[in-house]
Amino acid sequence: MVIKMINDNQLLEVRRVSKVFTVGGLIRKRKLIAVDDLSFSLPCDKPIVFTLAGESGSGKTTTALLILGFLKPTSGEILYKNENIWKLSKEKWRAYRCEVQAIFQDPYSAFNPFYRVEHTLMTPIKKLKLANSKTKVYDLIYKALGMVDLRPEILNKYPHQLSGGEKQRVMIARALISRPKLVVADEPVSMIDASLKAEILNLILNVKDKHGISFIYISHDLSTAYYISDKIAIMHLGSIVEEGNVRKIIEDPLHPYTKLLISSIPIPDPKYRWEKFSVPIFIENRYELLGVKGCKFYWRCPKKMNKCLNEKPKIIDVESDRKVACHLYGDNRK
Amino acid sequence: MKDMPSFLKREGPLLIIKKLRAGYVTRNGVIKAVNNVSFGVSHGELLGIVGESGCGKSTLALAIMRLLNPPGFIKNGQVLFKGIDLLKLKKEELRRIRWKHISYIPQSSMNALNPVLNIEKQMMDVILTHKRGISKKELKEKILTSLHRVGLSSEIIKMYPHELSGGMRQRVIIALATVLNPELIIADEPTTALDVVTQKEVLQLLTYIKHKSKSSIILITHDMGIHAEISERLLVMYAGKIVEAGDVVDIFNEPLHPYTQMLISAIPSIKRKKGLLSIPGLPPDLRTLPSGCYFHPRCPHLIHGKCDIKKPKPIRVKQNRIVWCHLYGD
Amino acid sequence: MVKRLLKVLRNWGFLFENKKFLIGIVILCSVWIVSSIGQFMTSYLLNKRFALELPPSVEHPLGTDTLGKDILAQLFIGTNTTLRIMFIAGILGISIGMLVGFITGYYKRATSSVLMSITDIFLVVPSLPLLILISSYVKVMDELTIALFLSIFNWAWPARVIRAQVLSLKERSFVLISKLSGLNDIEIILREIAPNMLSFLGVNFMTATAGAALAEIGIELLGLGLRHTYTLGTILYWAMYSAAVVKGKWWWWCPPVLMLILIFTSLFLIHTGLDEISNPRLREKG
Repeated sequence: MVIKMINDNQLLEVRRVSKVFTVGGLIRKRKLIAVDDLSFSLPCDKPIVFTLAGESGSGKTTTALLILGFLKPTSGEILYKNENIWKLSKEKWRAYRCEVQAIFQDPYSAFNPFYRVEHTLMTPIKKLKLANSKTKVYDLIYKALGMVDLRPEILNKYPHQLSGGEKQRVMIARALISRPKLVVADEPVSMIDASLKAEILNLILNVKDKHGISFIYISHDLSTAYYISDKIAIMHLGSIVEEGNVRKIIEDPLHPYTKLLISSIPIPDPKYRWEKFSVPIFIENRYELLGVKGCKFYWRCPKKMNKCLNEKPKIIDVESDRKVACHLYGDNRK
Repeated sequence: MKDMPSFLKREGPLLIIKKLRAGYVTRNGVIKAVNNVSFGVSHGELLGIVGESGCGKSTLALAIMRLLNPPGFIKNGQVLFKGIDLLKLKKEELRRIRWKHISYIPQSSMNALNPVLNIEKQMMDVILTHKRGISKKELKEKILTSLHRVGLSSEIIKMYPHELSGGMRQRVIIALATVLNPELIIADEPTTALDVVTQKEVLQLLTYIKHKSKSSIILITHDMGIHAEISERLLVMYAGKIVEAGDVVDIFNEPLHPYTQMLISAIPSIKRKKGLLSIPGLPPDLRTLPSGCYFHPRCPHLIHGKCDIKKPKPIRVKQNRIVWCHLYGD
Repeated sequence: MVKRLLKVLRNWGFLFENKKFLIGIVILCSVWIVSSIGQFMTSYLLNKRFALELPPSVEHPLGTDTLGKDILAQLFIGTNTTLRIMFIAGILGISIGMLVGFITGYYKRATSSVLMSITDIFLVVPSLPLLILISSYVKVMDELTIALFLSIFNWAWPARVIRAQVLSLKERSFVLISKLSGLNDIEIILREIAPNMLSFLGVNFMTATAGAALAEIGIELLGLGLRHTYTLGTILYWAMYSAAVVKGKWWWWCPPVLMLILIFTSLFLIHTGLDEISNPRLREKG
């Protein structure tokens, strides 16, 4: 069954979601705020590639796990087609599982080395009850292989007999078998060779256009994000600091963190070399997450003000398709 | 081997690799990871080596340092450091050169620090192993100087590796590698697993150290962006062989070898919104290499009867520019 | 049916490429086959009594014991019984170990910590003295009981190591992907994680079996074992009881000892061979 839409507006909405982990042993417990009051949404009228970009520790993988329903938010809601995913009936949950799929970073550990490729593709069909006759099952499998440009001969092979690129394509086929509307891709090309990255990225774009599937692309690599996405959200320590059209944000970043990120990317063109400098300047993150009342980027920010220490900047619209959370812009300037 | 003969002038190359062959023995044949590689490194230059996984660049670094353990082996060739063939030295003599004259930053070296020793003890260890007869005061001075040079404060000497962040650990490794002011530093993927901001800091640090101490650096990484930013000269490796060599700016402006051309157009960049092209096919298995030019099965400019039969010889296209490709030959 | 069997054999053929595993299996199987045939041929002898304490001769290659029973016949049946008990105890041990290991490795709830504490208790408590204590209370001892008895302790170590392995395998992407494909927890444990641990489980099975064997021999040497059937341990017990060593009757105590050495050596070889196989560094890449 397909989840019917009540409100024709948003495919996925993450509404003020926070996720707090308690780490440490019996005696010393510490709170780790992985995701902090996060909100964003994906439209359902047309398929987009929405990138969640950030360094390790920014909370992007935790967000992926929250969206996929593997983690429960400490506060806030995740709404798929306007229904809270944690309040779905069993049937609707299965439909959610079919419509929201994922691919992960490591094609090498993503396969169970014990089974052939066929098993990987057969399992979702059987478990999600996508087909009931043998012909229909293979129909689905061949269609999925076709979507990713793989031949049926690959079904009989073991994972160790495939190349990294082929493995990743099988993963994508597996994700597409249930005809999802949304695929969460967590660093899908970071472990793939440079000359083969394009293959997978182009495949994602192809699938988006031909089959109308939206992607949430999670990566720390802004160059690939620039190539593939429509919208981007920059995450820093669990919150979104800047969000909007990818071209605008990368070509003209507003938030100081975004600026720092973009200026640090090595550009494969000697025309744009980093400026020479004389003495290395290093600024270490030297603050506790807990007890920071203001902006989390305060210590590393070149434009910090007194206000930033005590008041958290709210995320506001600065242009038609641009949001920033910084006291330098918009109403925050007061 | 205490004093270098004075006739080894500084103009000559610091390091000359001649026809080096190294590989690994496996049950299904020999993996020819470094296949007849020859090149030179001058004093004070930053040479980059680029290639994808499995092209042999890490094996090359290990071979130069003679750190290749079985099933790895060096078949033949010469590694001339200031005129002395490192491959022919005895273990004791080699140890005197290592670290003091050539140092090595291995892959994922952030994990190379001994977790049970604090930073001070580890640095003392390294220095004392390679430089005898040094007073305690001088030792401490050396440690603090090298740590400050990489931007770390004195308080970290009593800390343990797990208390430092990845970026800080990497900087400790660089401090270790440069503490005895070696003339040559070989860095193998020094910034993987670092976030992009720390990566820039570490890379700029390397260029700063090179500038200050006039040492040469061999920087090995698959990331063309890094080479475009800091490398001066570049070697492109494919399937164990060098296919193109030259100045970085030159190679990017006018890549000659088809592999280099395709590699550059496969890289996503925020300064260019063109379509990305991937290279069809896969790199060859280094145990069963194709005949002739190793790239010919994937080359769009394949010349039948030539590229699939004859191995290309190095062709000097102009000063400082060499390419191994039949398109530029006779 | 035959085709499927051949397919399975072909898939598992790589096991036999490992020399240690192969030799170990060969020795163990030979021991089992020889003693089975021997038992079949000579078991009737044990109902008869011959002359007491005879040295080796043509009719009695290993002589007779103090009750006039043929020792070679005892050896055959004893070996078989010991093997049976050992392996049953091993299977029981690994099964409990797997159950506890999978549950505590996969789930991070309160039950896990409780189970882990219980496991630790069983690991730390000295097993042999306790087994001796318990056995002196149990009146009826047959093969199955003694096997059950031996498995009281031999599951704890496998449980611990299986838990560690499950903990690490659980973090691999294929578990997440299995969840995405709709598998529930039990299916993931049994169909995805366990098959990846097969050689590892095999190694632990050997450990559990060898441990059970040692405990068995230990108990029987002290005379607390089975009274009415023969095992290698009981043969040795009676030999010691009758001071066979002092009296120089090597034909009574040497053969069981040699047999035990053979069995333990084969177990060790199989164990080491499986260990080598499950070490991914030594695996061949396709």
